[in-house]
Amino acid sequence: MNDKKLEKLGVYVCHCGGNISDYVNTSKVAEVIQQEPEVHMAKDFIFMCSDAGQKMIAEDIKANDLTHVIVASCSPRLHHMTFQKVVSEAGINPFTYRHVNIREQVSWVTSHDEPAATEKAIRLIRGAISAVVRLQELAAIEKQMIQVGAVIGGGVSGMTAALDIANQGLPVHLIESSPVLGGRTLDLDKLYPYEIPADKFVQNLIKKINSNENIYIHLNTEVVDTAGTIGDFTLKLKRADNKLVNTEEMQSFEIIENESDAINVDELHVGTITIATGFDTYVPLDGEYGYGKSKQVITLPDLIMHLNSYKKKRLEINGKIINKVAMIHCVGSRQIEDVHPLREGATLNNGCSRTCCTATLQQANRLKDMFPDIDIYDLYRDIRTYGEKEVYYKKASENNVIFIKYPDEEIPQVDTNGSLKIRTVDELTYGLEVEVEVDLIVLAVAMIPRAKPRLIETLSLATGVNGFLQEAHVKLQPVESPVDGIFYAGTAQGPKDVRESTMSASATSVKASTLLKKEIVELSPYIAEVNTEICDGNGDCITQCEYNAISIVPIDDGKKQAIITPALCVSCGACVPACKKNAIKLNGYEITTILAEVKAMVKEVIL
Amino acid sequence: MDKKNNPKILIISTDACSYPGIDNAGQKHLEYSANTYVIRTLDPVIFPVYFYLEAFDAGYDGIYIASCGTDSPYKNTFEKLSARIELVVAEMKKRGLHYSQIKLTAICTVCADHFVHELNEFIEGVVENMPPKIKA
Ligand SMILES: Cc1cc2nc3c(=O)[nH]c(=O)nc-3n(C[C@H](O)[C@H](O)[C@H](O)COP(=O)(O)OP(=O)(O)OC[C@H]3O[C@@H](n4cnc5c(N)ncnc54)[C@H](O)[C@@H]3O)c2cc1C
Repeated sequence: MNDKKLEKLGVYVCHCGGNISDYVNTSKVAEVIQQEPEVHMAKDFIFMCSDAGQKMIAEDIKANDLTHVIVASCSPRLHHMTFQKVVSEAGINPFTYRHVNIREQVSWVTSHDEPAATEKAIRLIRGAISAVVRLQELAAIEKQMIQVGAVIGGGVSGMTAALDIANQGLPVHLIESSPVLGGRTLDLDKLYPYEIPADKFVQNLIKKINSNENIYIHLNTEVVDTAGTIGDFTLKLKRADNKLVNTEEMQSFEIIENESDAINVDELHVGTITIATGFDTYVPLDGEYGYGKSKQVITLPDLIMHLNSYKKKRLEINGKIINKVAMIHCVGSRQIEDVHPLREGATLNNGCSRTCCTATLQQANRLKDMFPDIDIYDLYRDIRTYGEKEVYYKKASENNVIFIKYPDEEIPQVDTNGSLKIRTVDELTYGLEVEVEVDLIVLAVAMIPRAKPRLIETLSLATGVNGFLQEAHVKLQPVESPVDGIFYAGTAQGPKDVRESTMSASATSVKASTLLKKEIVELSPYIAEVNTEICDGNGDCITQCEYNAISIVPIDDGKKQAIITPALCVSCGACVPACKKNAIKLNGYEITTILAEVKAMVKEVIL
Repeated sequence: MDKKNNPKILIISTDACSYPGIDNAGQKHLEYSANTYVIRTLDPVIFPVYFYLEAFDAGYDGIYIASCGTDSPYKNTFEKLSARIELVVAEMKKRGLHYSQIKLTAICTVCADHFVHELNEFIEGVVENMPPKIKA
């Protein structure tokens, strides 16, 4: 793109009603700024964002042949795009527009010192002038979109995500590594909080998927490699075996051999990817609360599955009649350093798994309903049955479940020699030591991230502190990955119950469908660029790039050079300082430009 | 301006976390020194060591880096940034600058009170430890 040299700069200082001008002498700011050599005209006005303000700027651009514009007003987070549009429509490259924040970062934080606020506003605008002089004209990168989505993982999150994309009229591939759809929800009994039978819930989703012509199901299939970028990802698929599930038969979860009409492809081309690969459950260490030492110590998912098909009048587990049960919360969750044992190489999981308190009390109530004479001891640190799930706590109390609150730093001791005994301190009785003999201990194990599939590595996706996939921004982009075109749904991103998982899946699908509906996708122009005249291809930048966006290619005379794949660049800038020859820059964020801005802001101001 | 009590501070912010957080301080009308200048980046990991040294040379008394910390949307940038700042501090020492003149921290989108509190503390530290030639 040809750069337009700064010839005529217009600077506009907004009063924002009185939000700025009550604290900053805006006319003085315009007057001082008008003296800057680069400035052709400087004006102040009551509301720059108003129709009148926008019209004034557009007319000034045309009447005075302005080549660049700066507006000093509220935060760029509010109106940067508004004014980019104004200048763009008037013929100026929108990426050379600069916005200065003199409200949130000046008038609203300096309300008792007008000279200081005025001086600060002038300095910030001077900084912007220095930057504008150096800003390059840029253009969004346009790319053809393959209008087909992919969802990886066929649990409730993946199924919901696929359905919501398909219901927008878009084709979508649903890729599931196991022979059946449904994920871990299939192992459950009734889903709290509304006690919906889990199998019915899953079957209902499968039914909808089967009757939706836009969904292509790939069972027993894993993504073994990925390539490409937003708009055009390639997924290499591998089937675990030849056993495929006929989509018609899936409601009965039957596996059949080599079904002829099953879809058989080994490479897919898609525009977006939704990752819904779910979670694992924590496996206690050998001996942790007696696990592995006694067959009478089992996990909560074990108990649920055992009860799912249980028909007898008395509860029997591993050959033992069960009269007394202890349930222990937070096994593998909310771990504290030097208190909880860790597997070698494992990192501390200090997060709460969110589902286990309710799931534990749900099962305690279920046991009481099925076997009213059973005694249940519930050993917890805090009960987190948030929102409407509190009814499970209430019911458990009414069911005479005996609650014992053990201290965070003193985990209950389990004795498996002889009869099964559990010893702990009870904070509810002011630190009384309690010892109970039980027939069964149920461990409410944590929801933990799945062992990192290859997919996460090849897509260069970041995981957060507790190992789950990390979103681009916890509040502003909660279902987006930092890589354009890749989204997260459900528990792959962190512990969630079914409702929270499907909500996130639906949110993801809106994001994915919005992109997939476009024939052309626009990518940010803020990407790294190599100065080919300086680059000697030594590769220092490659080691800093976590996204495989840089490669070294041979050029003439046996020399080498770095090149950037624009759609893979996430604009982090990590490569920039790696180059000792300064041969790499991030467009829109050039170091020389930012330094010039920084230096201009300290120049003396005479009011 | 009285340099001794009113040091000039460069604040490096990030689009994803601290810039909205600093805006939030404004929305809450929290007051802090007017001699503070915020620049916006995608991630401060972009800045080489010389950037910080040139900023000090230009006249800043302190540089406050409001990063995203480990919540950065970009992979491993906080670790890289931390390592870079260690190099900057080593270079600052050679030039007679005090380590309290630079701070690497994490500010979230709603960390307004925390930001103002920490910035004030940082400014106090800068004033306290400024080398005599600048302090005078
Ligand atoms: C003990 C317990 C009880 C619970 N009880 C309830 C309850 O009563 N109510 C409630 O609302 N929630 C409950 N939950 C939570 C519920 O299980 C989850 O919210 C739900 O299973 C999340 O669904 P998901 O699709 O995100 O993940 P998952 O169910 O884990 O599904 C992920 C799917 O992705 C597939 N997959 C994984 N990796 C790959 C790959 N690389 N390629 C392709 N496919 C892959 C898996 O095979 C699986 O089918 C409970 C959880 C636990 C642990």
